[in-house]
Amino acid sequence: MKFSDVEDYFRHHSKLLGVLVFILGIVAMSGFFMGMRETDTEVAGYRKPVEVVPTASKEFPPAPKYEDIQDSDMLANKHWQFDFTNLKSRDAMPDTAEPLDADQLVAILKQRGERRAYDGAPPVIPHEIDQQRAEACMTCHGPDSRIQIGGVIPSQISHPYFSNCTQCHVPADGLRRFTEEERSRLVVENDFQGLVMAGQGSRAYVGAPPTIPHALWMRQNCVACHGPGRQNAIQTSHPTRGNCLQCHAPNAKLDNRERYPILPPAP
Amino acid sequence: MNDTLERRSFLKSTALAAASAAVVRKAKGEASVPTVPDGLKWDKAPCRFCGTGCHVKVGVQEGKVVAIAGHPEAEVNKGLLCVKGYHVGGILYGKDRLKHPMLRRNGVMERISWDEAIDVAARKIMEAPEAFGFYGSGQWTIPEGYAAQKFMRAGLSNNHIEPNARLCMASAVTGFVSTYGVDEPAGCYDDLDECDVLIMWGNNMAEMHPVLFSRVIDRRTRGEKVTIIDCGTRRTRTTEFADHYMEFRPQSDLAIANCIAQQLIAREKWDKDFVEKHCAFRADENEAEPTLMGVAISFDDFKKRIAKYTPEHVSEVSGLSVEELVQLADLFADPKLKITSTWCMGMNQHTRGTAINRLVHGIHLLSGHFGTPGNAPTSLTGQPSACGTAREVGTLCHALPGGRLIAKDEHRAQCEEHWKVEAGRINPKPGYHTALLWEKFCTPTDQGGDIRSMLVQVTNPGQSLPNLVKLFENKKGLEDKFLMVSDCYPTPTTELADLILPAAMWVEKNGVYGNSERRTQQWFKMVEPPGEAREDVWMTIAIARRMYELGFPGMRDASGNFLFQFKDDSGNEIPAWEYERFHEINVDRSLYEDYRPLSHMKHKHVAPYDVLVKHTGLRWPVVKQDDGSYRETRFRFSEFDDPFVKKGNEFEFYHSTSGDGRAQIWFCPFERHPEEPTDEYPYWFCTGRVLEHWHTASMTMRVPQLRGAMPNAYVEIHPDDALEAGIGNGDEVEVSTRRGSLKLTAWINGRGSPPRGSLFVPFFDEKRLANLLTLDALCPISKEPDYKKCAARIRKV
Repeated sequence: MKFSDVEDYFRHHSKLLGVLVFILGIVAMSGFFMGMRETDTEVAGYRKPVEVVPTASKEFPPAPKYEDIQDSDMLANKHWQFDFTNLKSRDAMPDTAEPLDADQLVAILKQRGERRAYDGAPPVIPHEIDQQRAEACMTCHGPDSRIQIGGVIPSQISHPYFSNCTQCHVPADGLRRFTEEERSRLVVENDFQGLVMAGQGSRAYVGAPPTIPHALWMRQNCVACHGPGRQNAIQTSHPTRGNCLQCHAPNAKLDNRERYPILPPAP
Repeated sequence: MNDTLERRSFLKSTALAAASAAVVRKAKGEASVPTVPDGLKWDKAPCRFCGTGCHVKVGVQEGKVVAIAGHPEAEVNKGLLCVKGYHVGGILYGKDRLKHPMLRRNGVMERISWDEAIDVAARKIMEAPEAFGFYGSGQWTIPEGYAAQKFMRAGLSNNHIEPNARLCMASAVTGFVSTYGVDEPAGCYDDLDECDVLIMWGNNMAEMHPVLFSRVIDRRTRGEKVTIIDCGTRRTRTTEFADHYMEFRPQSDLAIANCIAQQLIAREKWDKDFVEKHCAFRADENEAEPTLMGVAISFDDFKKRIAKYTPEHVSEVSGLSVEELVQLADLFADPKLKITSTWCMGMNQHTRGTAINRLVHGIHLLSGHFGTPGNAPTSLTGQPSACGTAREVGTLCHALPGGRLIAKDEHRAQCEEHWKVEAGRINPKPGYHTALLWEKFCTPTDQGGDIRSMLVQVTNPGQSLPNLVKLFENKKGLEDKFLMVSDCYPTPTTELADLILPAAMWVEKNGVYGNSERRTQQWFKMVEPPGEAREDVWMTIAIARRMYELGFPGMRDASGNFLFQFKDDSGNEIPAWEYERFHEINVDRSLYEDYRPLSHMKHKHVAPYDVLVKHTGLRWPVVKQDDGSYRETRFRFSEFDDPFVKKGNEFEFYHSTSGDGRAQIWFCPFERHPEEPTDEYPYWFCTGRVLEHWHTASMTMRVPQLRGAMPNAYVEIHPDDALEAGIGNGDEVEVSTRRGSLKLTAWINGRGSPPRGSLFVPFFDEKRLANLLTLDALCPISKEPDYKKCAARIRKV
């Protein structure tokens, strides 16, 4: 191609090229000004709340046949039963289970920690709930419940009965019936570091009853965790003795007492 | 045998220690776990959230809040909390805490120093001091509110000071004032332990005041009988615990209350002795122009006016059956039953909010269900110090501390004398109420928008005001309007702010709150605020001081001294406006003690600061006894408990508006709502709260456990309505009113169940602002908006 051809080309298409240059100019200018506008990202330490808009993914798993519902993954959990009488009942007073080994204990404490903001916080609920009524809770979590779901014995209420369960216990993953794009768009991380579990109690001498290494408030029902058949804590070797605090001493330091002795209320 | 046991338990305990350390403090990676947590200190504080006023114990370790416990000795909550309270420690540690002052320059927020921020604020206010508005909240501590009061009334001679409490309890105030002549409930939470019948008026107590609700329903567990009646417009968790659910049409609560009064009179079952000795009757002279005080009417006149509210007539208006209405009347007609009524936003956020408040007081007075334990009409508040700060300190545009009024010469003079400023310093004209204040701020100056700068503390109007486009978002692009916001987190309000002041919150500062039952509660600072965040009370004082330095005459008292003076115990002056020296004295104590004598005029004697330090709160009037101790009052106006009732009177309303010790039984007619559903907008639209989030959720959405349980707003709709509109559970829908539209997820048979023809949306979700849709129609007396009713339509998207 000769230089004159190029010149020729520009001469013939000068109008079109002019328009092109003009358009490019506008694009560049607006890009420049848009770049100057405030963005959602960090500006001198001030950040607007991040709007998390997950990408739409409406891929639903195929619905199971009625006959397969019992075993399908679409239920709240795979051991879901439509009839309580179908659920296995655990023995009234099983033999003391084998003590947990170190690995099991680590796994259980990890799970325990994940469900509590700090030691002493009401645990969150790891499953869906009836949003309107609290009665359903006691069917499995009541003190007399012997229901077993899959291999799991539901945790037993560890404190006196208060009727409004959802006042303190809320689902960890609420509204999970809704798809992801409908859920929270304001997600901010949190640096709260909850209080650690105190660790083990102490014994005055070999064979002495160990002290209680945690606060007793809302844990008045010792057998809820330490009773027979309970897998997630140290099990009592003597379940027939009812008065636990007769021998196992609590620790005042754990019982969150503050600086000021609270005076009795004014007469 | 012993060997094995010991070995087993040794293995267990080593594993336990290792696991605790590894799991719970994985970030810190500590090697060993002591038997008792090291350096854990507990101190007391009222919960940061609602007006219940639970006392918590705050566990602090290494300068951080690490645990919360319900205070077992606290009379309000007796060791229990709700899920928000248990997680209140988490609100301090959201990653996006505001840490530095910021100024908008050419549309961009830039970090500036505190000196510059205070200077900018002072100069902005000085540009047009009469066009400045100070907008706070029922979360202002008492000292913060008091400092703001003094700053505005004495410093600026400006009455444009309002709390967001105008949006939540103004109708309760006008109800109390026009009935008893003085604000705040006569009864207290002890009534909940004593009552035979609890009637909740549009009040989802199970979610909004769960600790108080449990105080009632847990009585059943102890074998006591208490009948719970839920009068509401939507089935809620509260309904599930109720013996009777009475579902009425929105707005018809007015007719229902009148029906109870009509029945008491028609059946001759009103308490003739109580009414004759202690009550008078009142109504508006002209119903088209309602006033706060009305005029006295005779009993016969009252009887005549109430006569048409027969069960048959009211059944048609309200949708309740005649039997249900008769049943309600039967309860009030039985003098042996102890009846407590509670209400919150259902009655207050009402275009006839003052009227319905008066009517519920009225049926309690008329039937004599008043003033003995278990017999009380009690309004509940939504904010921790709506009573303590907004109502008692009087941070409303028409009020002064201690129940005083701007309109009264004598009251202004008392405050001028107390603040040592010359007579006439306080402007005699009330300022703008909240809706008007924001409307004026969002209207261009040349079109009458005569509020030019605003300072917002401890609240989030960009989400909580009704009709948000008109009252907030119209500020966008108004160059001469300057919005200053003190807050802890970015919110829809800070989004439009021109100056951002990072605030310390809750136990990062000292504070005093006042709860729903007249209980004043105090706490100390326990941890340091993050970054450069500082106390709101310091900001107010520092701005005042800067204005003083710049020669603004209002910031001097009559003898030329700076308006705010602080002295240490030895009498040395402390320049608390210099932040380095702010903590040398307890500024809270100093301001509170300056405010305290002002509470005496209306017999609202709050307890001395040093007494509060030792208690989980005391209910005023708190009166000094001969032995030097302080005694609180549980039942006001009742001789057996209230020291200000003359002996032998049994009951005495010593601030009676009729001047004769009587309470007023009002007649107020049923009036229709200004925006009822139409063909175009066929649904009633209601907004409200949920258990897990507190109001606009700027704090609770930052707590993983609370956000996890309730991650987003939704719209509740009746299954039949959904079917007709082709809406399935979880479908995306668009809800529209005459003011705006909002995309939401439909939740059928969800947390609550609205009846046919009505929708419910919670307002906590800042990414789905329910208040873009709400109506800014106000109660003509209290100027409180109605967030609970307007007309809407819904369609599947």
